[in-house]
Amino acid sequence: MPLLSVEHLTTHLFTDSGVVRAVDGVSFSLDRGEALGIVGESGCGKSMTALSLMRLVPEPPGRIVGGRVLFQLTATGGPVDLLMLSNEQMRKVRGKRLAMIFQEPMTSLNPVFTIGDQIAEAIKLHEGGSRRQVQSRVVDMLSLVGIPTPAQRANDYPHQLSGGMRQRVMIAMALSCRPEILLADEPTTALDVTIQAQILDLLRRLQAEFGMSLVLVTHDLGVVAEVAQRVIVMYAGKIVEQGTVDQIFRQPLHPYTQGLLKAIPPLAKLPPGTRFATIPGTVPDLAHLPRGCAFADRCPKVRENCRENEVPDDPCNVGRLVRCFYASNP
Amino acid sequence: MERGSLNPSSQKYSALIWRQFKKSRLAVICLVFVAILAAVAVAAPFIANDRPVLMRYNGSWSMPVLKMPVALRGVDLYELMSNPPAGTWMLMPPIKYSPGSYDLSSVLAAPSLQHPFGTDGDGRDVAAQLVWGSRVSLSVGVVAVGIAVAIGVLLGLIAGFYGGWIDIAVSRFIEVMICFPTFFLILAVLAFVGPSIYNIMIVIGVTGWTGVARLVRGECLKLRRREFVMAAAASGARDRRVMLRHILPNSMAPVLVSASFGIAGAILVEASLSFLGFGVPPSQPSWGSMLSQAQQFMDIAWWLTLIPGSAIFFTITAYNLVGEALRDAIDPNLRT
Repeated sequence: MPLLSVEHLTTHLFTDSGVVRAVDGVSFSLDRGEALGIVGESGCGKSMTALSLMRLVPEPPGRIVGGRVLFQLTATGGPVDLLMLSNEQMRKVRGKRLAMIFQEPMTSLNPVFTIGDQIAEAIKLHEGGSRRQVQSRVVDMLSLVGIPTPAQRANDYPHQLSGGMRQRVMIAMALSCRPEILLADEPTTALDVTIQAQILDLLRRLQAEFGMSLVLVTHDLGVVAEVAQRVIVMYAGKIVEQGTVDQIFRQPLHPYTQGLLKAIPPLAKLPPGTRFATIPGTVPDLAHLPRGCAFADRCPKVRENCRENEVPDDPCNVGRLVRCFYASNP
Repeated sequence: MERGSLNPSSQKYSALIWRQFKKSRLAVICLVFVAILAAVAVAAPFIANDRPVLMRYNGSWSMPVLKMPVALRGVDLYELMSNPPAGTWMLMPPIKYSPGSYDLSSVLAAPSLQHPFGTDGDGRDVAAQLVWGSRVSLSVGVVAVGIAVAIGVLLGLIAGFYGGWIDIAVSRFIEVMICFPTFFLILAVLAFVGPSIYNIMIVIGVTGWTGVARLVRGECLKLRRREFVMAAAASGARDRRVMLRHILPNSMAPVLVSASFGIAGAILVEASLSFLGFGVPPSQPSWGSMLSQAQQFMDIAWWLTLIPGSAIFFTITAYNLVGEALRDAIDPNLRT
């Protein structure tokens, strides 16, 4: 029984230029303690998927229009559909069972309160306790995420901290009530490479320590390879390929995944005159998707029927989700 | 970026703002001016009064400013002052006149040692009226803006946070309110309900919230998508908490600026109303009514217009400058 199973999650943005299918029938599951990576280019629906799980899609213009998010809230009872909970019930799930950290550490903390106050708020929202108890938990959390002299740092304001420190504080805030699932939306994108590695290490360590499941949304395949066990590749609101890290990196079957992997800058110096591999074109306008496969216009293997028929989950019977009629090794 | 390492002792947010604010000397001077003005308004009876602040009469102490002692009822204080019997001692306020005490022997007296700001056409001391008039001006300013800010913040937050039809309804309401010529609306309402200081406060407050509401709505729209607001919601905070704790404090900077301009504006409106005779009753001195009464003596008694006019001018300027410095101090983007 997976901890979380998402079925046909569909989130649309109702904009002036039409209905944007930001998340278009996404299904996946997540086991307890598992780390799942969601990758794809900007604007392919990764973040919207994470926000939909939290039911924090900006509304208007967004709305979750369909699907189920089944969460094993109790050990004994059946799973509960988060989309059916009342606002108040969902509020109790957020932060306590299902937490989220955001991309931009510069703006993820409220500038007018100390970081200690902000972590304390997250604790008080769900667990309460005396001022002293909360304060000591705040200090514990700060030291857990590797902030030196946590008792003094708790009185700092966000602008007194560096980006990496703020991301640590964000993680402390999100984990303060020991959630079972942490959704991390591009947690390292805005950080220096050396700091990125530290934050990823921290996430991995805390995940193991808390026995927590992690959903890592990123466009950085390196990050996914380092942290995740399973990977979902998204394109234009749909999952195009799903597999273990090994499968995705060693045997990518979807042309889009193959393109993404080719576009990783090689460590060796390119010989002069050669160009860096890219996927031609851009993500199509999600408000006006073409018929058939959304990747067709950029795909090197495109054929006639790609533009006519909707591609099912696994048309080539490879045994996992590969949304392509011509899935094959490169 | 790693500024924390430079200041190991963390500071309170208010201390941070104060340090920023202090950088503008003019703003500090204006703040001191506003503070003195507030102190004068509160302490007006002790500053300008025709009764002693403290006196000893027939062997007992009393403070006639607050309460006339029974022993002095029917006693002519003026007589007592000019010809004190033995054992009588009294401490007079700095200005020895009430705004209502008529001294018909010195009508339209130019500024002198006895009347530092001169007297008006009825022989009333201008300095005393100025001191008591500051009560009306400041209380109207502060209370009216308090009402306006309360209404504006509430409606602006709700409109900006919930969006959709609530936002449309509030925004249209704001636009309708803006279309009214506010000053004439105030005049018309006061013509119905009668001019009293409370009515003036309420009417100015109830018509003056639109600017604040728009500012707060705009800030709220901007902040609602900011990550710390999302993060607060993601950690399970209720809408009300997100609004009041995360959005409101971060949208207060423009509100404070608007409020200080608002106080200045309200003081002007009150002065204008009093000038037109729709203001506070004549028994209560106000800067506006002083100006109004000064009109007839404009060519012979310059102090009657100059003194209350300058009081209004300097007060409004001080509030505006304080507001601007406050805005700069609160804005984290300008923090160095």
